[in-house]
Amino acid sequence: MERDQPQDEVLIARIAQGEVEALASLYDRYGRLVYSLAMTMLRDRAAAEEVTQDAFLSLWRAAASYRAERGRVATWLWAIARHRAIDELRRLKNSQALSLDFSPDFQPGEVNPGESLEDASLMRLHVRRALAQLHEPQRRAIQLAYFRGLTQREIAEGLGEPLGTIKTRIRLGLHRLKQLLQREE
Amino acid sequence: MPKSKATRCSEIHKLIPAFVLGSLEGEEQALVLRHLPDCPPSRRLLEEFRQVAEALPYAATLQTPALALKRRLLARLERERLAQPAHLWMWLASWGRRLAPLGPAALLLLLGLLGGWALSIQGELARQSGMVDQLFDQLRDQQLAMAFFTTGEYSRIPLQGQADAAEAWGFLMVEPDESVAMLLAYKLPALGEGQAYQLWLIRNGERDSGGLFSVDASGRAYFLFRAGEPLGAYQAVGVTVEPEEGSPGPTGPRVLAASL
Repeated sequence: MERDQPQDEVLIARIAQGEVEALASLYDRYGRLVYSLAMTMLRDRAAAEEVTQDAFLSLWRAAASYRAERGRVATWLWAIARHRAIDELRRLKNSQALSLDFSPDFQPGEVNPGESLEDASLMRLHVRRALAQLHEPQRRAIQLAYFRGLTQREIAEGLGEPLGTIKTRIRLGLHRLKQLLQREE
Repeated sequence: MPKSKATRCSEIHKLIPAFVLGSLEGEEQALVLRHLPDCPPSRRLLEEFRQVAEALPYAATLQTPALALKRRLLARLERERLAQPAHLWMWLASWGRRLAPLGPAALLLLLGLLGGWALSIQGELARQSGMVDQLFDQLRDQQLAMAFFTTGEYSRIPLQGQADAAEAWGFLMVEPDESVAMLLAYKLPALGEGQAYQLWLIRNGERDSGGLFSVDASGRAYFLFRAGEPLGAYQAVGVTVEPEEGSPGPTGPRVLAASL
């Protein structure tokens, strides 16, 4: 974030006063991040745009109730977008087979074409590198839970694995991820 | 033989990673929710894993939305802003001043047309935004519930089952000086068709509604509610059975009560 840019909290206060320009600034700051999460979850440009728009509309309507101690703005936007995307995934699940073909769309430490060095923030590199160091079955279980919004039982049924195996993968995988992220700090 | 606290903690700690990913369900999720209020070490662990889960979106490959998305979003926000009542009346008043020289009949006709058009926009916006509002409310409740368990700055107030629900029990989690609180209740009787539980906040003999909630098949309820004032302003809380649309004051049997 550039030094002369207003802080998120300042923009949120202006949004609560009905300033569309402040929301535009926040969109410029986080629009790509929110859209990227929605695209990773939904893999559909139109649906991801709808989710992104919903996330910012929700923020616009609820800016007055934002409290910094509850979490960062990006986290708030991500939570709204993820929740909305899971609803969409569950709606789709009722009309088609459950998709478990979640494969990593990144390589550890890789900067993708079209992605500036500024975008490839340290945090993003840390998280990608940490995920890449997990055993593949653990990473897959975590990704299906987080990015597909599936419960442990749904993952077990979808993969044809015992429920206990999936529970262990998620537990050990997230423990390992926690250690790896702490080591990166 | 009842499990020791250490055994129970150990079981809960195994569930917390799946809990923060939202992949627990049913009894396991309820087990975590019941355990957290009394266990600071479990809440600390929850906070640690919550931070891990919140880092996961960074794994998504950065992609750029169409430029038109921002234009559509801003245009929609502008329409919402203009449709707010204060903006509408200012706008109509401004046109009224311009049209005043045409005479009262023309003025009334034009104001009527403009007002009808503006109100129709408001109605359409309200319909479109209803779904998003509902979604946001659910999300905000989840975030608040998580915050209750991770901040640890709340008081726990026991709720006692009353004559019509002697086995019911539960507690309120109240943050000091906050108007938001959480009710957790167990073994409440199943509701009949068209009924809901209604929470009442009692102050100087007056009862303010804290909202409606229902229970799951096992009589369990988690309910975040917002009072009109900080909870310290109230002396007691009660829960009664009411029609599903709610009542202006308690009419049905009382099932839970607590002194604040």
